[in-house]
Amino acid sequence: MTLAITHRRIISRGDLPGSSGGIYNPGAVLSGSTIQLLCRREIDYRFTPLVFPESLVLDADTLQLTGRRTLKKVGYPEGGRIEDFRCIKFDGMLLAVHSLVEPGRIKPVISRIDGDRIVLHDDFILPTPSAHVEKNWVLFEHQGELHCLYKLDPLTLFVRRGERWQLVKEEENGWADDYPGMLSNSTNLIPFRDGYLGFWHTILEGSYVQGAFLLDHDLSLRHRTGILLDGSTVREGYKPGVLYVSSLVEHAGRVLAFYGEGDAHTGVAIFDAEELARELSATSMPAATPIRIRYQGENMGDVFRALTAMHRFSSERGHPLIWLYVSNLRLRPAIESFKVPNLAVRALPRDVRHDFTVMGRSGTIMAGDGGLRA
Amino acid sequence: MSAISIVYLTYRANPRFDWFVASLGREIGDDTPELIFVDGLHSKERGAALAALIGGRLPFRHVPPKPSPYNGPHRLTRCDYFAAASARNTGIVHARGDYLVFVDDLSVLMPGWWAQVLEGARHGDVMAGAYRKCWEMTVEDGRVLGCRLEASGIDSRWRQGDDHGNVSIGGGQLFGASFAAPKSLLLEVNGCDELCDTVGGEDWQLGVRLEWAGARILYSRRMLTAESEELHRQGTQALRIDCTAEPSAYMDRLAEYGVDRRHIDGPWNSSHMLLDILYGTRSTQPMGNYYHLPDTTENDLPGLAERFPRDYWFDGRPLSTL
Repeated sequence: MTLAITHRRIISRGDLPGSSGGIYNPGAVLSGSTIQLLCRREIDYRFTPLVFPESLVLDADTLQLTGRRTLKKVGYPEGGRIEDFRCIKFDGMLLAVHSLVEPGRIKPVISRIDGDRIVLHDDFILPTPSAHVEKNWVLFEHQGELHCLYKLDPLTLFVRRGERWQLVKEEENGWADDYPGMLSNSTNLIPFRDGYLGFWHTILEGSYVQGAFLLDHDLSLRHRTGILLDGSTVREGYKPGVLYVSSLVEHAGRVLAFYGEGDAHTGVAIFDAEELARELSATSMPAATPIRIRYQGENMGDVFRALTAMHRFSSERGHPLIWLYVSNLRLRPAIESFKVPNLAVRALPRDVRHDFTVMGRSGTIMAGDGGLRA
Repeated sequence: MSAISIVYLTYRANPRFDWFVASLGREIGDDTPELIFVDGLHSKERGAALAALIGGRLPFRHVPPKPSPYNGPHRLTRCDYFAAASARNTGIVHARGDYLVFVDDLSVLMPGWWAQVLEGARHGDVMAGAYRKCWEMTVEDGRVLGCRLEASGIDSRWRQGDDHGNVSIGGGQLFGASFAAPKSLLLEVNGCDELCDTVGGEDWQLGVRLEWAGARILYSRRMLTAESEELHRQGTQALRIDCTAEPSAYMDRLAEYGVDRRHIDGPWNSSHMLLDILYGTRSTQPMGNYYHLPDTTENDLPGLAERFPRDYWFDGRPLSTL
């Protein structure tokens, strides 16, 4: 089935004064008969510490721009850039999860939009180790509580309770193995049919590709589509190949996927909601039943011995799906070069049961965790 | 050698097209630069007069300035303001050459002018031409036969210059009399900044941004134009104003441009806010344009009126009250 998708440019770089560097990556929420966008407005395509949160108002039916204002930033560290806003209404507030860029660190925070101000609201500290660069944490409301979808594979969800975020679910599904690049969230989730609709993205051959997924009311990943939007069609802007869906709105039988285009413009892909629902339900999440093996080794000699053993192991069992867990993902290219059929290299999660452990030093495969702790 | 377009700007009833065309004819030999006349008093009759002057010798286009919120039939203000940035940007959109030269009206191109343009084009430099302001100019066949120099009209850069070579200058010393730049560079910085259109100073403000974009800016005494001082005073002048604000209002407004402190001493007025915005943002891009020149075609120009700002950039008052 091929979905009919209509594309439309909402605003281009330069259309507003002080937007020569682009106006893109919009958050969006429906408010009555209007859609409020919150875009990242850059004055210069060269790096400058200055970036402006630009609020745009669209007529929800015609998508015509009817108003704009620049929000005043309140409460952010001096010299910090705030960018890439994903908006959500929650508990009577209009919130935006967005990146806070500081020297040596990029991290999501949650802000509150109060009239013509955007105010730092929540430092958004998740109980999980974080890297120097963290992006694409998205929000949704489930049973009256604010949830965060941190990662799609392992499906990692947190809930805000009191002053803290708590882990709700961390469940591997193997989806990330479908793509050579990182599989990431694109948008906050919106209520859709009997679950929550979101978009995912990855980078294929230098272009961003995007698809949809549906999280069920039991917070399991139920459906996902293939690639619906392909950034290779974006040939202009400051970054050709970048089509970045950053917000979803369902209105009047349509799903509006607002996106940044080439890090320069804001556009929207318009889906028929029924068609999109049918596409989603036609593509269920395949159940993954892998053999989970933990790799234990330190050097390239260990990799060689372990993968030689893995070849034998795979062949003896008719090449089953194998997830090989490594503590250092930089080993992935070396491991993949051995081309063990149906073997995917995965990061070692915090809590996983291993079926086997492959010992690099001896080239042996032992049942269970091999006496090691995860 | 890349193609060269000359952009000539005027809002005057008598801009002395004849002086320009004749002096250019003496300069260019067999070269055929494209001429773009951006004419605030554009009419069929003026176009026909130009065609007669040029006599088929050179490709030329006679176009009106693009819609401006500050000047002309689309303006939102109560009267016509200077709006040179808007007019220059009109020329950038229309020009097809790779290297653009801007020339003010009421000018005679002096001997050697074109050779300097060619040199600038060859090296891809920004060229800042020298000027002289004169009274009682006697011009014949494109040559100045006599004039009286205006005492206050001396080019402030002249002493920095050299009769035998070009000298490097700062972007803030790029003045509008005649200057030249690669079109790609003008597009890269999105042209002149319409913030300047009520105040003036779009030339040096562009120069600073060109410098920040990495351009080499050369001042040339030999790229000289002579301008008539008395003809400058003909007819109704387009206004330039310098509004003043209370310091707190000034700082609030400045903050809206992302600038939290003053970068230049002086009064709390619009010409100083231009400087505070420029040096506060350090941006190569204009803050007052509502279009992106690299994406803008001639066909887009009429529609730009739909994107006009409605409020004055300096203090937020409705443009209809300005």
